[in-house]
This record gives sequence, C-alpha cells and structure tokens, in this order.
Amino acid sequence: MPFNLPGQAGDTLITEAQPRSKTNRHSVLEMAGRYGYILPAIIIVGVITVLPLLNTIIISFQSYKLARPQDREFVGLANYLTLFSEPRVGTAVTNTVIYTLVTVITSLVLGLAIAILIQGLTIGKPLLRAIFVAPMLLTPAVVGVMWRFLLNAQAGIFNYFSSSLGFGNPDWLGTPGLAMFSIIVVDVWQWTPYVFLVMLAGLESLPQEYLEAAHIDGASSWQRFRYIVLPYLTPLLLIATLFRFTWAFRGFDHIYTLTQGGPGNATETLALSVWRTGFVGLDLGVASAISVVMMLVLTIFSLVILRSLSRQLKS
Amino acid sequence: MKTRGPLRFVRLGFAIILAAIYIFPLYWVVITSFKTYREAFTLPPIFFKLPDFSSYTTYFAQPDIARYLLNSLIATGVSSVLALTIGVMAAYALARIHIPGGESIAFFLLASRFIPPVSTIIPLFLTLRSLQLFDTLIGLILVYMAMNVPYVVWMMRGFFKDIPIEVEEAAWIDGCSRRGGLIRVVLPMVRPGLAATSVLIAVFAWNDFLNALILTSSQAKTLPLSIAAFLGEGGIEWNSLAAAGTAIMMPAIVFTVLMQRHLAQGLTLGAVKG
Repeated sequence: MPFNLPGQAGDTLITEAQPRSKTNRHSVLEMAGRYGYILPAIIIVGVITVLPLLNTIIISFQSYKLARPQDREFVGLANYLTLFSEPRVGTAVTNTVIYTLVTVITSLVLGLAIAILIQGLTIGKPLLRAIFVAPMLLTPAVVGVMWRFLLNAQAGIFNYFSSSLGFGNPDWLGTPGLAMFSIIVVDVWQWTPYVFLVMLAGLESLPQEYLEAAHIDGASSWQRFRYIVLPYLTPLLLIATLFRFTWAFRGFDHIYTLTQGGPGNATETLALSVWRTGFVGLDLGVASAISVVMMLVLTIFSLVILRSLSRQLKS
Repeated sequence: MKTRGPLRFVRLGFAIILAAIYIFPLYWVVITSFKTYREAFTLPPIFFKLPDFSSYTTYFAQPDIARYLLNSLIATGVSSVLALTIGVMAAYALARIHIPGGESIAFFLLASRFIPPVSTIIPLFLTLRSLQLFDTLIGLILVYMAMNVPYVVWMMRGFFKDIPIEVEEAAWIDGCSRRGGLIRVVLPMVRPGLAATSVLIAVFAWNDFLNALILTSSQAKTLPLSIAAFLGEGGIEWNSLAAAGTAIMMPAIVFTVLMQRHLAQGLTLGAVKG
C-alpha cells in the first residue's frame, strides 16, 4: 500500500531500549508523565472547541436574545420548530445544498483533470504546478473582495471583456441566480488547487510499470484511467471529498465578502444564516439551533466517508 | 503516463493557456495595486505596468492599518509558536509512547477540526466577553491555538513515525532521557516537517476571518478585517484595495510555492507522502 494511513499497524512500539528515566517505568508517575505530553493539546481543544460546542447545544434549547440576556429560559424544541416554519431557513437549506454539491463536484473533476494534464508534461512542470497551487492558501476573505473588484458591474475587468464581446454588462453579484453562480466560481477557483495538489501527489506515486504493462497488453487510455488510475486514486479522492465538502458546507468568508448572502437572501447559506440570525438579528437560540443542525449533517457525512475510506483500505 | 512525440507540445500549449487563465485574476489584482486611482478606472484597461509601491505606502501609513498589521503578526506568531510546542509534544507521544487510548485521542483531535466554526462561535463570543477577553489578542490567540494544535499533531505524528526508532534508542543508550532524545536527536531530524507544519498553521491563523470578525471590534482587529471595511464605502479606491489585498496574500503565495509537496501531506491527514 503506497498510502500511509493513520491508525494502522506500527502504532504501538515495543522495544528493548528505554530512555533513562528517574521513575520506574511501570509506576503511576511514569504513566502520568506519558499523559503529560498530550494533556495540553487535549485541554486547549477541549476548552476552546468542545465546551463551546456543548454550550451551543444547550443554547439551542433556550430562548436567548442578545439584547435581553436576562430573559434567557428553557424552551424545549421551540427553536428547532422555528427553523421548519421559517421560509428564510428553507431557502438557506436549498442554497447550501446547491452551493455545496456544485462546488465540490466541479472542483473534484477539474482538479483531477488538471492534475492529469500537468502530470504528463515533460517540461515546464514545476512552474505550472506552482500556478495551479497558488490560489489555495490565499486569504479567503481577500479572495472574496478581490473577485468583487473583478466582477464589479462598472469597473470590473470581467465586464470589460463581456461588453467587448457583446454580452453587455451583467450585474454578477446583484442578480439572484447569477450571484450564486459567481460565488460558486470563486469557491471553485480557490479550492480546485487543493484537489489538484492532492491528485498530482497521488498520480506521481502511481508506479509507472502498471500503466506500461497495461499499455503493452493493449489497454486504451480510457481503460488505463478507468481500471488502473481511478481505483488507485480512490482513497485520495475520498479524503479530498471529505475536506472539500466540509469547507464548502461551512463556508463563510467567500459569501460574506462577496454578497453577505444577498441580493435579498439569494446566496444565504446556513453558515451565513447563523451569523445573520445570531449577530445581526441577535437571536442566539435560533442561531444555535441552525448550527447544531449543521454539525449533525457534517458528522453524518464525515462518518460515511471515513467508513468507506477504511473499507477501501482493507480491500 | 508521459506523452511523447509532437502531441506533447499540444499538451504543453494547452496547459500554458489554462494556467494563464487560471492565474489572471491574481495577476490583475497585483497589476492594479501598481496603478494610481485614475489608472485603475482607465478604459481600455492598462494590462501591463511596472511595479510602483505608492498605493502600498499610502495604505500602510494609516495608523489604524499599521496597528491591524501588528495585531495580525502578533496573533499569528504567538499562536503558531504555542500551537507548535503543544502539538509537537502530543504528536511525539502519540507516535512513540504507548498511551492507552492514544488512537482515540488522536481521532478526537482530528474530529474537532470537522466541527463548523460557526457552531462554536456563539458560546466563544459569550465566554470571551464574560472573561473580558473579547476584542483582545489573548482571545484570538487561544482560538487560533485550538484551531491549529490538531493539524500540528496530525502532520508531526506522520513525520515522527518516519524516523527509525533505532536512532532514538542509540541516544537513550548514550544516556539521554526521553525528552533529551526528542530535543537533541529527533527534532533536528524532522526539521523539514516542522517547517512545513509551521508555515501551514501560520497561514491558517493569518487567513482567519470569521473569528476575528465576531471576536474583535476595534482594539484587536486583524488585517483581513481591514479589507472588508472597504466594502461598505462608495467610490472604492480599487488601487488601494488591490494593494491591501496583495500585501495580505503575499506571504501565503510565497510559502505555498515553497512548500507545495509537504502541503499535500498535511492536508490529506498524512495519506500522501511529501
């Protein structure tokens, strides 16, 4: 197996040599010492991530308005029921589904295609690789603002091209359907490089003999892709899907800087709804309920992917 | 499979055109940052311009912006050093020392990275406010540490596992303690991994927007927020905005290009070898 996946054999170490230690290695102190190495990590993640998460779950069952914190009280499922009756939340769910599915699938296909294109090059590879990787670690909020400039209806360079070509001056971010399209383009532009990087690394570790053997046996290039390359890349594709799904589903920075969910609520996803409900509408109870729902969806999706990943690795 | 014969030039040509289209948005922002206010609006647009940094100097001469820059540097620097220290210790222990429940702990740390930040931001805001840490760099640093420690653990654990145990055993036989062996023998050997990890987590902290947006209001604001402040204004000075954007993104661009290979390793939970 060319991939070194975490949690496999070789984790437990039994050796004869031992580090010099002041205490007996079986004593309680020695055990405490071992945990001492990992305790700070557990504490910081526990206090800053896990406790707030539990707190969010508690708040989601309370009526909690930021403007009147003294009226905080337990209301059972009322916040969750609000979600189902609120048309705005329904739109946010639809928007989240469209946005997530389209950006994830597009970036996976595009990233893999570019990786195959670049991998087969004999010259110019390092430079081209750098270009296709570069957008990935740019500040997402700045990327959003930058594209706002590029897509600006009056001064933007895209409308210079589009009007020169006779397509007029579309208002990319101010027209409902077009705004969603633009946001998807920006997200795909920034995160396709991630898929590209991972797929290229996978392709480069694929033993060339496999392909040459298949070639000699008369396999067409499609057959080689379908029966050798794709199965080889499947674990990496699953990991890339997991990451891409997570980033898109909870994505905030691009949408906030491009449209803040507008025009109206045409590009408002669930992540934007949490912000708008909690920090503009000051209703922390309902905002927490939305984020609990988001967390459940992400947890279920991650478990499904991780399960099929471990099945892949066993076979 | 490498393409041979004349077809490879077709492939190269296609790749070059695609790359030019792909990088154009970034190129356009950088070029705009070299223009004057008037030039940014000129029609037909100016496609080439020699570097001119006056937009940058004007932007960073504003006292507020200089302070945001300092905040960004402090929050990123301090949180990265602390996350690296805590994370390397945990990664080493999870790779080398038998700890009952170690696998579950590693999985717990990893799982925490899949929680949407918006799901924890409300209680974080309330807690930091009640501890009087709202709008402070200490608050931001704590949040960035929690965000980055799991990445350090996962990346570094992979690098530690790649070091043969015999190396460490030799150090122990020579009388090193476990900590001594880690510091004097193992750490110098994983230096490239350490560098890649530091860069990645520093970029994550530097790029953060959501936490800074909700958890700061004026004193502890960071650079990415300064660029969002342009959005409300009419008659935006696009050249200044482009300069601000370029300056914020430049460190990440440079590091990404330098660190490409290790990035794949870090961002696939170690499934790809750098």
